[in-house]
Amino acid sequence: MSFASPRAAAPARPGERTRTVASPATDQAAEPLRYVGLVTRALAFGLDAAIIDLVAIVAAAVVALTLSVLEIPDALRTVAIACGGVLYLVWTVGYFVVFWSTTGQTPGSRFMRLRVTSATGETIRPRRAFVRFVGLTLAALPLFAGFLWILVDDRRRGLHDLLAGTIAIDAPREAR
Amino acid sequence: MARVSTLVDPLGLAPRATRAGERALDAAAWMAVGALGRAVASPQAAKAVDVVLQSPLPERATRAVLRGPLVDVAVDAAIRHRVVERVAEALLVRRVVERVADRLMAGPELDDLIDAALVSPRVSVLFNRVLESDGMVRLIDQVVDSRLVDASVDRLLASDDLWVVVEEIASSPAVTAAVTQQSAGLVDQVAGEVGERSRRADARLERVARRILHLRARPIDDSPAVTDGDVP
Repeated sequence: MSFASPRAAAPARPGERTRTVASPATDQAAEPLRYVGLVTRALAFGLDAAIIDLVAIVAAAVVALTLSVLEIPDALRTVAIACGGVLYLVWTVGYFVVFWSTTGQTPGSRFMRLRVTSATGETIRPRRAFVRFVGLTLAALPLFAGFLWILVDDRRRGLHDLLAGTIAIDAPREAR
Repeated sequence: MARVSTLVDPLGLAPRATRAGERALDAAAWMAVGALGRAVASPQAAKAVDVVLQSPLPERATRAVLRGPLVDVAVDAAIRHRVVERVAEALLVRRVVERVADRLMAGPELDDLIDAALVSPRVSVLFNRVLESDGMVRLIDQVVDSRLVDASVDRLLASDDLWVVVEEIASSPAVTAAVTQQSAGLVDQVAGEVGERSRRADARLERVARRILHLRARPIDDSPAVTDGDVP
């Protein structure tokens, strides 16, 4: 039984961006791609979550300190909290989408030396990165069951990878 | 009244005779010095000196002189007449020491001497003996235990110059670059180690999961890609 998708080895789509960061696809002939597994990706995600939350906490503390010296009605306070939630969501989505669609590496991925690319090894576009983030959320909703797919897929892809057509591969230090 | 000299030497020959005698003495002296020089420079004289030096005569003579009262008399005389003080004063007044020191510092002899001493294995052995000796250990212990070190450290810490030097060193680009490089190297090393272990855990967890689900192993065996070779 194989969970490998037939589209995985397909060439890039007609509208696929040809720009690559390290061109793993071209190196594939010389050296096989090494797909990164669940533990490494979980550690990278944990580092990213820590960075996101740390920045959000510091920003929220600064804003809260500023607002504490002002007389703000309760209704406005509720609106400010809602705006903070929206900003947190935007910051989280933007963090992943920007890093995945530019270098293919979030800071956590960079530390763990892995890169997110398309199935052909190219840097993904922002739309696909956004789809991957949505898939990431969906995979996490059922008690992270969507990530268990990584354990049984031949290319170590999770639900979010299958939805966005991406893979997570090793990015050795020399290629960064 | 006639002068006495006129009566004794009416022809005035005495001064001339004196001058003639002096000339004769000078000539004799020159001849004697010349003859002595030739004698000293002759091979016979050299042989004679060699024979004398190789014989026990110089040693016996030196021993006799040292045992005899001559040395004591000479030393007493030198002390009584303040010879040492006068010599030292003359050396200081005429700046002999400074001139000798300048000459030594300007010339290559001192450098050659120091180089030869540093290269010499005997000096090395001597230094090792001195450093390993009990006396040196006791001396170092005494210096460390004394108040000299504490006072020196206190003065050093109290001086502003020290902190200026420390700030200069700390802010130098070379030190900053070295610290940055060291920190980056440490982060790389940690990342490499963590990456290697996590990739091993990936493979292990995957094998367990596939065994539980009765799936075949992955077609490509993923050994850890991040190895020690990646770590600088």
